[in-house]
Formats: sequence, structure tokens, C-alpha cells
Amino acid sequence: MARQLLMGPGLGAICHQRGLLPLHASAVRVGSRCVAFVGSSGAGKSTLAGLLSMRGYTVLADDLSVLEIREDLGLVLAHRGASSLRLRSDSVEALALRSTRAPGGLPPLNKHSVDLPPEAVEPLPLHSVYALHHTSPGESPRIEPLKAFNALRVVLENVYTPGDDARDGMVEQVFRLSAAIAQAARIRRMVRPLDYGRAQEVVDGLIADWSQGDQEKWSCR
Amino acid sequence: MNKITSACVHPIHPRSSVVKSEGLFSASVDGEVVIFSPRQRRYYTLNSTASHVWTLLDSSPTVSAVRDAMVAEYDVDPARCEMEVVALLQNLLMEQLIQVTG
Repeated sequence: MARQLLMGPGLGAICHQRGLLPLHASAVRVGSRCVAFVGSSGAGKSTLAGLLSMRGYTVLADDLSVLEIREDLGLVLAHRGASSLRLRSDSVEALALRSTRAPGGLPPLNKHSVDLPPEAVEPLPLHSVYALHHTSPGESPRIEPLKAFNALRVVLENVYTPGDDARDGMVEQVFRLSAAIAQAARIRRMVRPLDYGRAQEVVDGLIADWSQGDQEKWSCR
Repeated sequence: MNKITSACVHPIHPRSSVVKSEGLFSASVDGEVVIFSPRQRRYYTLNSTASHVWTLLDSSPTVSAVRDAMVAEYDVDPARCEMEVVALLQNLLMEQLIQVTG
């Protein structure tokens, strides 16, 4: 319960005060860096993080990633967020993970908590952000690069803002930090059918995409 | 209607001096400038050439200075360049992203 509250609106407000950007995203560690997944509720952020955790990737955040923009280094650091994943019950079954706790606090309905091994993780540079979208069954998963405003938009649309309390200065800060993230990280749109039978294909595609990313933006920073 | 009227009253000409409107936020992502106008609650995106002009406006706040900077950097005909700069600034003015100061 305490963690739920800590990760809720309270943390969002504190982040903004400290010049950090809270992004509604799950994040997993990839080597010395990390990748994040954004999308509307139900888009599959936690499910993908869970699938990647089964492949041995450490989950850094489930729902809220705290990003620190290091303009001096030209990169964005993602801090470890939550230590448990909230998954829909059908996702839990698909992942064959054991549901260990009933939902506590105020999580969305029909979600289970799945504990992940606690692990101390330093803040890691953000390598890629994937905006998750569903497409009709039968279509193949695909990943498309987003640039300029389309990239910025993905970040802006997923910034966690504490209520309507958009004070002067905060709007500017969110805009500036979001632009820095869109500039420093690779932003991708990932479209895939809602079909757990193809989940491994989706994960393979992701791994191929971020591996290929080493040749791009990242390499010159 | 209001926008069109103001543009007609203060058209951009080759000797115009302009200044960016106050209160705008702008940032460059992948070489393209994105401007957010909190007052209009609207985003504007500039292509790479327009982005360059937007950046030049900070140090070269007149049409002729922007034209000279562009001509020095790109292989472009000065007369044509000036025409295009005027057209761009006219658009920025209509969207209230710049003001004419002289």
C-alpha cells in the first residue's frame, strides 16, 4: 500500500519539483542501458516487461519511469521505478507467472501483482522508447522509427502530470525535458496484434530492433 | 479573421525587423524545431530550412540579415532566398509566432 501511494500522484509531483520527468512507462534493462514502453492503459506495457523478464531482462519500472535528463552528457537516465508488475489476469495466464497478491490500493480492476526479484540497479541511460499499439489479428508485428515532432509527441502524451495542477513553469519544463528525451533516445512505434501466441515473435522483433539501434543515434552520443 | 487583419496591417517586407513572440517554448528534435504556444494551446513544426531561419532570428532579426546568412551558407539565389524568407516570416506572423518591430 505504501509503495502504491509512493508511486502514485505523490511521486509525480515530487519529480516535477525536482526537474525529473515521470513517464507513464514500463522499463527494462538491456545491458548497460534500458528501453521503455509507453502506451495507453491496456496497451501491454506490463505484459511486454513481463515477457522480457522471462527472457532474463531485469524490469526497472512497471508503470512509472522516472527520467533524469543529463543535458551535459546528452543522455537520459532512467531510475528504477516499481518492483512489481501489474498484469491483467489473461496476461498472467499467458505468461505463466504466479499471481502472488490480490490488488491492493487503487490499481485498475482485473490486475494482479507479480513480484519480481529485488535487485539494486543504478540509473541507466535510456536507449529506446517504444510506443505500443494494437493492430488487427493476422497482421504482422512491425516497428517504425518516429522522428522530430512525432517522436516528441510520444513523450509528451505519456508524461505523468499530477492532476490539472499545471502551474506556470511546469508546462515549459515538461516541454523542454520531453524534447530532450525525444532528441537523446530512439523513439519507435510498435504495432502488433493482440495475440499472445505471437508474443515471442514480438519480443524477437524488439531485441533485433534495439540491437540494430546501436548503429544509429546512440553511437554518436 | 483577426490573424489575417494583423498580417495585412504589418506585412513583412525586405527591410522588416522581427522578434519572436513572448511566451513561446521551442526545441529542436532531429533537426526540426517544434514550437509550443501555451496561449493558443497549439504546436507548430518547422521543416529543416524553416528551423534554420527560426534559429537565425535570434542573432539576425531582420529579413536582410537572415537572407545574407542563408546565402552565405547555402548555394541559393539571393533574390529568391529573400522571397522565401519573407513568405516564411509572413506565415509565422499570421500564426502570431513573431511580431514586426520595424
